[in-house]
Parts: sequence; C-alpha cells; structure tokens
Amino acid sequence: MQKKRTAAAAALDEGRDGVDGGGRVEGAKVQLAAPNGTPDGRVAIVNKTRVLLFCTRGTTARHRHLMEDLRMLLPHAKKEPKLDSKDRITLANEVAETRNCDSIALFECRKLQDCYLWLSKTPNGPSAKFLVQNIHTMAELKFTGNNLLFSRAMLSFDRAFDEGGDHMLVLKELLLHTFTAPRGHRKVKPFVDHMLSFFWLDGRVWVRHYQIVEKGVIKNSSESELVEIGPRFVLTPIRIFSGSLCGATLWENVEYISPNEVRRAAKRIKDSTYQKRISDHAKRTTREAMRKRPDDPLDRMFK
Amino acid sequence: MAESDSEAGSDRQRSALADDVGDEEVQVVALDALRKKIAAQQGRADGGVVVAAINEREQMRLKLNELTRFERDWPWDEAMVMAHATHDTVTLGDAHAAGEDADDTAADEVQWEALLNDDLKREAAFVQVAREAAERALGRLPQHARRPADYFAEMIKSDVHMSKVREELLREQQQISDAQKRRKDREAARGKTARGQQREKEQMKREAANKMIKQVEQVSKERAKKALLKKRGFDVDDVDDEHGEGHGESDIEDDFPTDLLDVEEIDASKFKVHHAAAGHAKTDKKARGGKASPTGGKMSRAARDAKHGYGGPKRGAKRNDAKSFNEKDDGFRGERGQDRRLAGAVGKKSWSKGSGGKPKRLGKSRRQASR
Repeated sequence: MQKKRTAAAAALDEGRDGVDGGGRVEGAKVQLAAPNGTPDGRVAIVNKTRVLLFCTRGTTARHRHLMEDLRMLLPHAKKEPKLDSKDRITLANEVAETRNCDSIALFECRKLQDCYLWLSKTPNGPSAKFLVQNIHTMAELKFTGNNLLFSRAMLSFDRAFDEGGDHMLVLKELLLHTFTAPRGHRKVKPFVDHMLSFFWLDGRVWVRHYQIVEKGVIKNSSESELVEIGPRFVLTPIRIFSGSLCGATLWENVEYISPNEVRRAAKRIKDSTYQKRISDHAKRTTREAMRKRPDDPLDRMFK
Repeated sequence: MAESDSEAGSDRQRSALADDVGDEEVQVVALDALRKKIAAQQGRADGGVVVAAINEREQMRLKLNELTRFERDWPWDEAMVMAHATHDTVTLGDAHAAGEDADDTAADEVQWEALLNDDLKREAAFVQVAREAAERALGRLPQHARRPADYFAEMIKSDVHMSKVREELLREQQQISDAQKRRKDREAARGKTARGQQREKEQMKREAANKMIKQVEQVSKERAKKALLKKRGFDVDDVDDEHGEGHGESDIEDDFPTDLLDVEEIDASKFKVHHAAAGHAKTDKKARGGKASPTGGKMSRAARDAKHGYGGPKRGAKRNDAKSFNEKDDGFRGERGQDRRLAGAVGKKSWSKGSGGKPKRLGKSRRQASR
C-alpha cells in the first residue's frame, strides 16, 4: 500500500522541530517504495498509536463488558491481564512500555461499585481520571445499529472542547489519542460507516456511538440517518495530571463529587434520626433530674 | 432504646461492599445538598476560606505541545474529527415528535442545558447534532470510503445478536398492534350490545343538551354585550326588546327557539338526561358500586374461573431467566397478568367472551352421523 507523503512529513524534512508550539509528529518512519519494490528514498511518517486497554482487579460484569465493547471499537488496542494493585497504579506505565503502547486506557473499579477510567499518554504525557457512569453496553437490545468490525470511526466533538479552556483541549486530545484508529493498522477495514460523538453537558462528557446509514437505504430518507450502536456512557472528569497516571495535578474539577462522599452524606442523613433520638433521651434524663423534688414528709400526711 | 442501639450497631457492621445506604432517594438528596454546598463555596467572594481550584493553564499548554496533535499535524483523513455546530438551543424534529407528545408535531426548540433530566429529548438532541456533523463529514470523505451495500464482512455485532434485536422490535410492535386491536374489538363489541346502544343514545342526548345550553349562554352573552354597548351610546344594529326577539348578526341559527331565552319559560325537564337503567344492578356497574357480582358481594367461583382461568399462576415456574431479564419492565403488570391467564387456562381463547372458546361437543347421534 502506497503511503502518501503527508504535509507533516514534508514539514519535518524541512527541519522544523517540536519546540515552542511547533509540535512533533509522532510515528514510525517508513521507507516508501516504487511500484517495482525498490526503495526510492522517500520517507513517510505513519501513525503508530497503540492503546493499552485493560482493567484492575475487582471489575464487575458491567464494567468488564464496557471494556470489551471498547476493545471491539479500537482495532489498535492491546489486551493485558488485570492489574493487580490499585495502589501502585503507575505499574501500568511499565506494562505499556513492554507492550510498545503509547496510550493507556485503564478501568479502575473500586468497591465493586465505582468505575474510574484513566486515559494517559505514556511515558511523559498528560493523563486524566474520569468517573464512568450510566453505562449501557452494546449487547442491550434497544441498540439496533451495527457496523463493520474494526472499521475506523469518524469522531465528533462539541465546541465546548475547543472553546472551554486549556483543560478541555487536554481532555479532547486524550480522547482523540485513545479513540483514533491509525489508518495503516493491519486490522483496520477500509470503509467508514460509524461515528463516535462526544458531547459536553453538565460538566461531563457524554459518549455516543452511531451507525451511519446512507441516504436511500431506509425508505423515504432524503439524508443519512444515525442509528445507535452502543455502548453508551458518561465520563465525569476528575483531575488532569502532568505525568502518566501520576504527577502534579494540572486541573481539578471543582464540581466533582466522589461516590464515596455521596454515600457518606446519605448515611449521615439516615443516621440523623438515630442521633436525634439519643440526644433527646439525654436531654430527658437531665430534665428529669432537674425537676426531681426532694422528699417532703408533709406529702405523706393525708394518705 | 435497646432496639435502636442494635439497629445502629448492625448498620455499622454491614460490610462496606454492600449497598448499605440502600435508599436511592436518600442518595439523591445527599447529592443535591453537596452540590449546593459546592456552588455556595464557588460563589463566595474573597471573604471566605476558599481553596482556589487548580488550573495550571501554562503547564497544560506545554504538555499539549509535546503531544502530536491530530487536528493540527495530520491531514483530516487520519482522525476524521468533526466539530458540532454550536447548540444553545436544539430544534428537535420528527425524531422527538414521534415520542410521547402527540400534540406538538411541529419541531420543538429545547435549551441545551435543560436536556439534562429529559432522557428522550436529550438523546434525540444528541442524534440531531451528531447527524448534522455526519452529513458534513460524509461530504469530505471520498466516495470509495463509504461502505458499499453488498460488502459483507464481520460486523461488530454477530448475526445471532442482530436477529435477537429484530425479534425484540417485532415483539414490541406486535404488542402495540395487539393492544390496539383488542381495544377496537372491545369498542365494537360494546357498540353491538343492547347496553352499548343505550349508552350511545344517552351520549347523544347529553351532547345535544350541552350544545343547547351553550347556545343559550352565547345568546345571553350577546344580549348583555349589546345592551352594554347601547347603554354606552354606540349604535347597535338591532334593538333587543324585552322579549328578546332581536336576531341581527349573532352566530345563532335562524330557527333557534328564542322564546326559550325567557328564563321563566325554560322547562328544566327538557334538558334532563335520563339515565336509563340507572339503579339496575344487574347491568349497570355503577349501580353496583363497582363490584363484580349483581348481588354486590364477591365474584362467584364460576365467574372468577371464567375470567382468569383455572389454577392461577404456575408454581415452580422458572424465574429471572434470560428471556424474562430482557423483557421490558415498565412497572405495569399487564404482561405477567396475561401470562397468568394463559398459564392456568384450559381451552380458554378469548378473554372478552364468558366461558372458554372450546367449540361445544355435539351429541352422539350427530357425531356418529358425521363419521
């Protein structure tokens, strides 16, 4: 397959390096060949993004199914056995290095209830932690769409990702690096028949996956239709870190409330009735003690 | 006191892994309270002790520059990224109108922020926005990149799964059409019985009476209006005399019996709607006070058997298997109730008829004759 010379490759050849906003094009250098097979001296940069997609121990069924659904969406994803320890989560960086991956998508499931998603660029890149909620997997019968396995998806983002500030740009870039399948990957099919949409609503990322049905396939449709394939989930950004799964916090979401806090506050509300009863009893004891009258012999006079 | 102690104790002893708060409503209340607290903290000026949120813009920009940027450094084909059109409000078209609101068939303008709690509208808005972006993207794609209709290769969902999906869709459509058919049959059957016809007659009488009352009201309104105008000195085309015989430009038909406008002359009995068969417990359910039996007591054994079928729900039947798990559970008992009827029924076909739909067995001589 002939690889066209990209504008980026041309720019690199002119000696522009990644300093001060120039940007570095990552990828493997590939020798291009003439039709008869002899290399003709041209070099192209090929996108060789690989994502390490795995989870920690303690993932429940729904979260595991979501991860497997994502595996089917990402042809450039590599599988790994479960990461044993959630405390030393930076071990994932070493695993990524051995597997030659430059991105990590790690599902961290805690307490068998809460599912967090780490998106990270190894080894130095920024990383972000999200809380995953409202998960609907592809297997749900309400999702009637279907698409070619390992075909590349079009990606669409809300304007908020471009206009919302630097943290939104970082989030968008992390999502792009995770969900963009490289063109030259050996699993990738040549056609485009689905799209992944990322919406920004209420301070969260809403992810939807649609099949693009061409116009004319469905009767009486003058334009292409979208049918949802699934999965469907919501990501609440928590923090952005400067390192990969570690490092200084570059941005924190002030409006984020952890599930633990919610449960704790709910328990306190339930506990308040009991606490009130205890304090009422204590008050009653003191009140009774205050009102106790001394024994008066005159009381017994007219028995 | 001792009881409350043990309750609280057992609460704390329950493991952290279990859903020990349990009550979802309490969690929602707690979440709201926490959100308000955060909002209050944010809204506070420099007076309160507020920890500034971390937002290292410069650092983030540096980090971004270290990365390869798909939209900047690669041609569009590499990542195929589209930006949605700005959407402060979204116009929901047919996708939404086909839903709950049968009234507003016109396109519906919704605020983006208001979509949070309305699931149907939100998903419809998402599809709308994404579809618009898809149209633009398809324009940029070369023709050979679109999947041809005859290209068969492995799909993300297996054929087995897709057939299940199809089955589910058909089942839902079937349920809806069955329910509609049942309703139509019920209405038709009702119309044919004597009681049904009586009901129709009563309905028509009531409507006629209401119509007449409305007309009376309208005429009296017109009169009042004209009297007022006349009083104020405007030129009124027709003069209403005391007997109310002026017609003029009102909307009332010419053959309207104006002599009825005089209150004394209206005979109340003309508008009285006779509820025929009122108080007759055997036919009128209202007279029975809603009870099933004509005597007003409980339903007889035979009547209950005829209505629900023998045996009731099957004991020892499978529960919570794959089929029931995938069934729609919208809180209504209709589906299970129907199963109940079918489970125990012996030869029972249509529920609207009294006894089972088994054809009556002929006598011996006729059976032998047919052999």
